[in-house]
Amino acid sequence: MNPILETLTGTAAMTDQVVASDLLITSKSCVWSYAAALTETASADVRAVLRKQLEDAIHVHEQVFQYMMERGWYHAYNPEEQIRLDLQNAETALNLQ
Amino acid sequence: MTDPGTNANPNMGKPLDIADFTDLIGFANASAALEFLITVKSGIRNAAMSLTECATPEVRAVVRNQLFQALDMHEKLSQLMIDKGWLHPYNPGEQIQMDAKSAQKTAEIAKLPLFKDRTKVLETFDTPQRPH
Amino acid sequence: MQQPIRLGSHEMMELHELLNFKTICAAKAKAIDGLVTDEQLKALVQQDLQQSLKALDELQTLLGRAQVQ
Repeated sequence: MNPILETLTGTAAMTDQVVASDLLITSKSCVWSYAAALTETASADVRAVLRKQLEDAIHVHEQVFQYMMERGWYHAYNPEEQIRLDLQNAETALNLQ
Repeated sequence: MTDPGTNANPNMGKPLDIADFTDLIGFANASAALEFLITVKSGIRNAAMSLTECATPEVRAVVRNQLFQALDMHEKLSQLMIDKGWLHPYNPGEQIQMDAKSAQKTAEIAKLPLFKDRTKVLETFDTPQRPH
Repeated sequence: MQQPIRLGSHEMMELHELLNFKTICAAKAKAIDGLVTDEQLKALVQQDLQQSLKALDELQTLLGRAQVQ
């Protein structure tokens, strides 16, 4: 599509934003799942592996979140703006054919 | 003394008494350890959830630290419980049997009238209100 | 004087939840400490109590410095 049109319709940013949001949600549930799995682990070897991967997951979540903040896709300190953005995204999703 | 858990009708139809239970101290320790384990587990889940909802680096550092502290505590506590025979992670059958038994014992103890009219006694020992 | 810290309102709520949880943890650890006789278990409970108190202190410090956006 024409870059100007893409900018006008917001579809250019949308793709990356959708990917980033998906990554953020995935990395969140990754952290939760690892923490929950660790509380069900008895073996020291398994624990060591899960713990390392939990640390990695926390790091990934932090990076994705930081990236989204910089891009203005995540407004951690401004809930109103975040809700406005989420509604706008929902609108875009509804208009997809 | 007979343990009601080992006999179907230990008191010949008479109501149970706290004296009918054996090894109550050991049972209290095992129950306390389980309660502690459950608290540590939910603490880990709470901290992990909070961590993914926090943005400020200082907040993240604190929550992260508390998460890993809780994980260490979970490791030590579950190992202790395994050593004591209170937890059988590699033997689900044994674990289920043990849990069913302590559930039964707990239910029986819970039905005993242990704390009849203790309110008055407790109130007697309450610290007096300091005048403001 | 403690430096103020910029917090999102949802972050305040998360910290508040953790604060409540740790408060109950500390109270419960204290009560359980009086119940257990096993020395190793007692040592862990007491360690947990100290950690809960430290955690409470950290969370309170953060909440005290918080400036909600």
